[in-house]
Amino acid sequence: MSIFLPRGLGKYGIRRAPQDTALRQYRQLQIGTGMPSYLAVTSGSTAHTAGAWVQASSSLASNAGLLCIFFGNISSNSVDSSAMLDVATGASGAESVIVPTIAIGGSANNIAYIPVSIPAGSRVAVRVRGARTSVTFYPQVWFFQTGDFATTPRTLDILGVDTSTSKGTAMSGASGSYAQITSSTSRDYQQIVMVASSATSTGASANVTYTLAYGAAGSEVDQGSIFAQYTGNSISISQGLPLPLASGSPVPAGTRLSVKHNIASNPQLYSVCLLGVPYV
Amino acid sequence: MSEWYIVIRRDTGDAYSIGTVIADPMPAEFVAIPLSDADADSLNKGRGFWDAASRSVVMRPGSEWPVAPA
Repeated sequence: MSIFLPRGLGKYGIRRAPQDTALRQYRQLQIGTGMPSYLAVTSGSTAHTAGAWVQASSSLASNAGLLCIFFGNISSNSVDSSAMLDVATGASGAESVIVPTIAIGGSANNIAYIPVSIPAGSRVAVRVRGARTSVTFYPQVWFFQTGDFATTPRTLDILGVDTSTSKGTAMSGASGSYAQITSSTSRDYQQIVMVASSATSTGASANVTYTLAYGAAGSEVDQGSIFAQYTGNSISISQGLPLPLASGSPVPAGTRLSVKHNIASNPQLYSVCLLGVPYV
Repeated sequence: MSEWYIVIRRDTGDAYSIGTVIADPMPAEFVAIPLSDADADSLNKGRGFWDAASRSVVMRPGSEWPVAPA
């Protein structure tokens, strides 16, 4: 009897995802005390151009291995509220992007858990762009210290976004259909993180399960799911734990990635993007 | 309390970055302008915005009360 492992698994073995350790050992690095303050982050004066960087931390007190970003008030009824958020490190005027263009359009109570390492002492800033211009949004950023800082990458890749429209990849087809995010990943990833968004100004209330899948069209292998609750064109992510939002096993370069949906009608109104977590 | 700066584009006056730690040396295309405590507070709470034309912080209409969620 032969046992076939998914391509790449033999090369990497079964590794613990960075935030697994974070869940057991996390120690939140507070910005000040208590809950982090809302940041006032304004989109650019031209559609889909980035606004100013806004400082989330002047100097991290310790190494961070996991970011948690809450996206609120992105949504606006009957208005295209497509938007993207960047994360950077570095002094004002010399920011270097570490997590680019996360599609967050339509977010009302949306959240993303981002496994990226940021050294102690770093200044961290965020900025937004989108269809709505010169609009101020109020994200919150949490920094978590993890026990495996060394295996968490300093930068992530974004997959399935269109910076000319600030949108993720829209779903298509009947419930159970897969929407291709990328035909072939450009490098190895230790993990993929999904972030839900809205792709339109049209209201579309639904409870949506997005399932990440690897493999060629017609032979996709499901990996893990997230749940997003949409009300109108806004999103409320009802998952509270990081793991369901960060799904999947190792992804070798050259892998086709897709996302399956369970949307009964108008799937084009719903979208996702993926964060590729490379090896260090 | 740290001093806040706004880094703007030298040619257009558009805001590029807001923070307490500024690049040294500052790239030639940018200028760092120190903010008063009031202006920094306005920007950080969303009560005001940077006006590239006047190169100053302008209060939003009706911004006597905090805009940000409590």
